[in-house]
Amino acid sequence: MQQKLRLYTYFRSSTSHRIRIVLNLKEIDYEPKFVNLLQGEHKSEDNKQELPNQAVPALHLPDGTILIESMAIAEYLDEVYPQKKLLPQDPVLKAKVRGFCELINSGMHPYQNLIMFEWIEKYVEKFDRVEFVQNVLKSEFQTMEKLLLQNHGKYSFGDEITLADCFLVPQVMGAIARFKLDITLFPTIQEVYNNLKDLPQFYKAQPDQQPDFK
Amino acid sequence: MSYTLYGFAMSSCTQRIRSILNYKKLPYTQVSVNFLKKEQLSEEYKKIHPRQIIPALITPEGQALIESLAIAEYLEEVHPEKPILPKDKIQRTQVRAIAEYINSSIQPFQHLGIQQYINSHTEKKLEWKDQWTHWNMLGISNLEKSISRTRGRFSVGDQLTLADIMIYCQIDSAQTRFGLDFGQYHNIMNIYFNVNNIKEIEQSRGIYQKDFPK
Repeated sequence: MQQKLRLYTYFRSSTSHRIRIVLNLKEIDYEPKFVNLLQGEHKSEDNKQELPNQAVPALHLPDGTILIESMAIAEYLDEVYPQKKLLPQDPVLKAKVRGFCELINSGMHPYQNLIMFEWIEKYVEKFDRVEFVQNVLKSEFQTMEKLLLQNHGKYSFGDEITLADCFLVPQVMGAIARFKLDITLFPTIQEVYNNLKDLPQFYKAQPDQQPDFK
Repeated sequence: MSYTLYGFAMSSCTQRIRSILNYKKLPYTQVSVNFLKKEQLSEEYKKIHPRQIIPALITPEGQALIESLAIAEYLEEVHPEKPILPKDKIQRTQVRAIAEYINSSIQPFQHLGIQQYINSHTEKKLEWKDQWTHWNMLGISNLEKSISRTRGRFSVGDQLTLADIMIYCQIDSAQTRFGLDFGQYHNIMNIYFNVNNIKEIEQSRGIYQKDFPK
């Protein structure tokens, strides 16, 4: 019988990366299950029950409940495992942290999703994924830089780690690795990112530290 | 002392917040930011929203909040009467998952910028209606399956939640804008009609707003 939380994850999935960080920060022991998106394992018959939305991450609780959507999973973990709270108490600051996460979740990530690329490729013969994402993300990273300028301390919002940091690191790391982001153009993002990425909870969650890394 | 909602009659994201404000009977005024006339690009609006998208909500204390889901969570926390999130943690997560799915896997894929990108890179022209049709039909068919597992009178159980407001605004927007037909999705349309019967939410529709284009 399943004892621990079970996380369906892909090493390079930015959304899975967020939850790996959250689980590490809260010191929650979990069992990873690897889903190779490039090989289409998320769409396979074998994973039909396990991945109800044919996507990662999916979090399986010991009683069999399946939770999906990284933002919803993160909120659940923050409510049920209150050690190392990731959302501030103050409602306005909490809204700012959530707003920052949503800018990434719905304002940036959809445009670098495999499902988006595959659809565009039906129309555009020589689709340059990198050029497309770079164009879309330019103003988004400028927005992030503005928000961090207003709110940052050591981390995105002050000197305590928040959920914003769990979204920022995967987004920036992925943009550097896959879309040639020049992070020196965004000095505040760079500063906060450098303060975070080598913390053990963040380092252990990154793609090249995952057992399914290729 | 009341809220100020910056948005536009044709914006489903603005409709979400208007619906919550009306449902919870919170006092507010609206400021029209007509994106057809590119009013979101004004210097004045730039001070309110760093990314210059809508909606934005100014609290009675003068705090500018962005991102519809972050705003929704804020209003729920500060004004718990007429709740839009269940008390049960699993159900809350299920509501958030539906809301997040619409917010990040349907609505952003409608972005005009994607159609413009495709049409500048290919001979075959993509109609914006076809882009909306593809992503709405795909997204709504996925939601149809997932809410069959969680629904009662509404999408998660028998009380109205944020998930229902999100579904309603998405369906309303696609029907009004492009006449999309979701009749084959019985669970979704059943919930749509149940929400439509809630006067405060039906009257929050874009077509009733002063700035709805003639």
